[in-house]
Amino acid sequence: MIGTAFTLLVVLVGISLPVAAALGLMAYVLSERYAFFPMTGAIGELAWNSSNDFILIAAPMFIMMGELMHRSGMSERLFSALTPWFARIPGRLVHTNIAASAIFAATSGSSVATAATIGTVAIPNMDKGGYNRPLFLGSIAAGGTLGILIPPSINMIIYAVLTDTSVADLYAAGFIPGFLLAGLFSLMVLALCLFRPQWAGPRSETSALWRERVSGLKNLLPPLGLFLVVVGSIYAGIATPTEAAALGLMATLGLVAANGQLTVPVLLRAFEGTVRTTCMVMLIVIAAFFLNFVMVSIGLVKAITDTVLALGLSPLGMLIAIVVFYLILGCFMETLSMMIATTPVVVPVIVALGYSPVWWGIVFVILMEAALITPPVGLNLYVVQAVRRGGAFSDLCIGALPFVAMMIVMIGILIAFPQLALWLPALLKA
Amino acid sequence: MSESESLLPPEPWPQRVSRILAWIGGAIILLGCSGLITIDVITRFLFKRGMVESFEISGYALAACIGLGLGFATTSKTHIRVDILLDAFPRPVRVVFDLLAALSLAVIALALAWFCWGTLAQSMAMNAKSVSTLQTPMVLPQSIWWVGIFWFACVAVLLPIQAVLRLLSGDGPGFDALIGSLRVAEEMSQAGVEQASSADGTPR
Amino acid sequence: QTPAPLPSTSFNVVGSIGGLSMYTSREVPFWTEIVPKASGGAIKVQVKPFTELGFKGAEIFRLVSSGTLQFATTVLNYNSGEVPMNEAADLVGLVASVEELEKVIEAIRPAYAKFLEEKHGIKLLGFGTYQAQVLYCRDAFVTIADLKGRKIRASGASQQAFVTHIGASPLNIAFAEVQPALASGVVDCAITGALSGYKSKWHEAAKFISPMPVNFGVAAQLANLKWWNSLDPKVQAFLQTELNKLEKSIFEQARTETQTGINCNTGTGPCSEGAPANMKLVPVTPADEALRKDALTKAILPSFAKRCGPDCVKTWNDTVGKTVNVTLAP
Ligand code: NA
Ligand code: NA
Repeated sequence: MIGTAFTLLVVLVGISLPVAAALGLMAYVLSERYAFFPMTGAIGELAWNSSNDFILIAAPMFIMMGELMHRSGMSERLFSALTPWFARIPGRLVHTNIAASAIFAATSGSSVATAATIGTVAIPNMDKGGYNRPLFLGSIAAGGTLGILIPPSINMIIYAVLTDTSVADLYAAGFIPGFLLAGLFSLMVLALCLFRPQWAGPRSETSALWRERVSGLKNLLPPLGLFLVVVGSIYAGIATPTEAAALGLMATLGLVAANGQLTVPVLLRAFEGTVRTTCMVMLIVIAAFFLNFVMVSIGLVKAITDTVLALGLSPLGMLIAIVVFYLILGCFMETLSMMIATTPVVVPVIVALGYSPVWWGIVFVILMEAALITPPVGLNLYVVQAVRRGGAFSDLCIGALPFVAMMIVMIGILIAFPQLALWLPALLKA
Repeated sequence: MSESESLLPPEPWPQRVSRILAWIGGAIILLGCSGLITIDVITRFLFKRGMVESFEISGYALAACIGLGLGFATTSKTHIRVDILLDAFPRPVRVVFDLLAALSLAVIALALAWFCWGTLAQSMAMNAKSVSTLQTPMVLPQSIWWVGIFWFACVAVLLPIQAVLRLLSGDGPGFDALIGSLRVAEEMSQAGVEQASSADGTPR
Repeated sequence: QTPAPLPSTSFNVVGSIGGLSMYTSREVPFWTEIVPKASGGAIKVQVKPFTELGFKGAEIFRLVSSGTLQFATTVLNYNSGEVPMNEAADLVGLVASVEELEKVIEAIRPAYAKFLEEKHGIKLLGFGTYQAQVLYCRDAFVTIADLKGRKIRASGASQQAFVTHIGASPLNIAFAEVQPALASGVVDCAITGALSGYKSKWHEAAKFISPMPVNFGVAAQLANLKWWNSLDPKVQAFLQTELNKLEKSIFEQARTETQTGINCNTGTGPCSEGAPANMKLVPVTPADEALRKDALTKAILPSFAKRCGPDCVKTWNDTVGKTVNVTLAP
């Protein structure tokens, strides 16, 4: 059954059916072959549920924020202001992508929103600079995943609810690994660009670099102001992370209007971009929820989990087996349903092995980040591809690989030094 | 070129309707989600009281946007296809895969419209209401959502038909513009082919 | 006990919330151990919690009614919008303890079962309940009346009406966002189960707790009527007997868990669920009891009567009303 399922998915996606259709068809086939009650009867309810799920509301608002920044030219000014700062570092704008993602991640609880926002802003600069496309796109898809590791994080909130852990502990625990992972991404990019100088982007020949840097600063102020609105409202106790997204969008709208750039075409193009990306993602999420429903109903998820848990390994061996299990499962499953379907079974095992559920929460979020950028089912890859409008999807699949490698390295570091996650929560409690 | 023409590019009327529905969907996100939530946050900050039940309504707004926008996501070819293998094949095979992709999407859209109608019909039959203070009749948000999904199904069925008609009339670039992979479209636009094909904006 | 010669039967059950003990320590052992064993292996059941299947709650009742699901446990309040009768035994401020709740449920059972069969094609096979839903607050209070002017997260029309009646502001945010919202001060207070609030670490953000039950979260074991009627009468009788036992054990658990929850949150008694927290217990005063009854008669019941309609009001008066000595004007 497991083999049939995955073969089917690989074939359907491989012959380039739309991903949502492939997931939906696979769910239908599994449901017809293995289930013993008509699960198609639940499609309507599942579709309505996922269409108005609070978990997803923040994403389109952040995406629209990015669209407005892009259409009004704010993002272009932001990037031209940042460019001189990275002009001497091989990789240039690729580092900007990672840094901007890490900063934006502190306002957004969703990886899709982070990737869509940064992607909308950054991709127009890709071909101007003559960057290596896979690396540039990979940095956006992977940088976007930081959205769920650096607090606030919707996935951490769900994990906390599913496992009775503290959201505050998880947020504190995600902070250091989040920025460390961003650092690892940058180091890897630097190493690759030193090794392949033709990927490194255009080197600035100007001698007045500092004047450019300083004169560009004023263009950093508007985005900084938006950042303060969103993050400030969360930490001042004015808004929840979802509500903060709404404030951010309204502030962006106000800013664009104040600059006199809020025209009907700007607004309508922003609407088009937002709706396109949102609906593409949502159709996949609806299909994935139905697939999850079928997989849980027919016991597929349990069959896989039981197989791993029955291996009878040492605690560390078991932990590594579970990590590998998630890396593979993450290729095929959408992250939210993967979390809902597996957490209730896996986390008790992790705790029984003697690991802290908060620490595992961080490792698990990194595994979900990897799932977001591993083909064939990788929502962040799709989002960046959708924002890019054209070009080979394989660019993204290749470009994401080195970043997945860094995530695995990060998990290794966390296994060796669990204090990187657990130190800050303990400090804040004391 | 007048402003409204630049807003509405020349395109067949189903594509145009989808675009306008997407505008409505975007406006719903801006006003129905972001606007209402902002009002609630501000009044809560000032008067310790929310005003507009944005928590509930923003969910309906999201659903409405998703329903209304699915058609546009389809006509603008945003539904992601993993085209890694596609390049390896000669054009006739690619045409078959393009058609298969469009047909599979049509099947999914029809199924979605059918089963979501079941949900809407049951809400009508039960006179379903939300549990909140608003007591929203579920028929209201669900019918906007469903109308969008129904349109999505219409578009998803129409696209492969339009495409086959273009293919039969020998309009290969026109076929690609409708349901070919975006990559092909990009190559064409670089070669200046798209202009030629998009000039035929005749409603079908 | 001699195993009855039952015809072999297998079906699917959708259970209650996956992470909570009603599911993990009552429904799972019931369907996977007790029922197969007691039926001599004749009855085989697959059980999954609705949360794991990706449901939100309100659709369970509908899916049982339409026959997509054969058997499910659901919290009745999820559907009180379109089926006001579902709320009849779980109205805010109605009862002060699990014991009282059991009496109310006993009173309404036959009428409610008849209602479900006739109006929704559902067979009622038993009830259940979560722990008492209680108030958690950031800042000190002595009586419930002190909460006037505070922002309280409440879910559903009735809880919100209660909050409004005591002069506070009801807010609705997602359950998952409540704990951080309490921590940052987006809300001042919030209502949830005595034990589930402990498990969700609300005590890290809220420092004061009142044990007064706002309401409970009454659940029911429901089967699609057509499917149920297609079962062998011996199987029906067997299941009904066993489900009665399940109901008793769930109520027993709700009783202990309400107390355990208070103990764990406040450290005032034995806590079997982890390290006790140090919330301050705000004892229920006679004034609180009076306020609860006042809210029930002045705010909750009138709006319930309006939503419910004359037939339903009559049923309520004859059953629940008699038990708690309140009569509703139609
Ligand atoms: Na974040
Ligand atoms: Na993946």
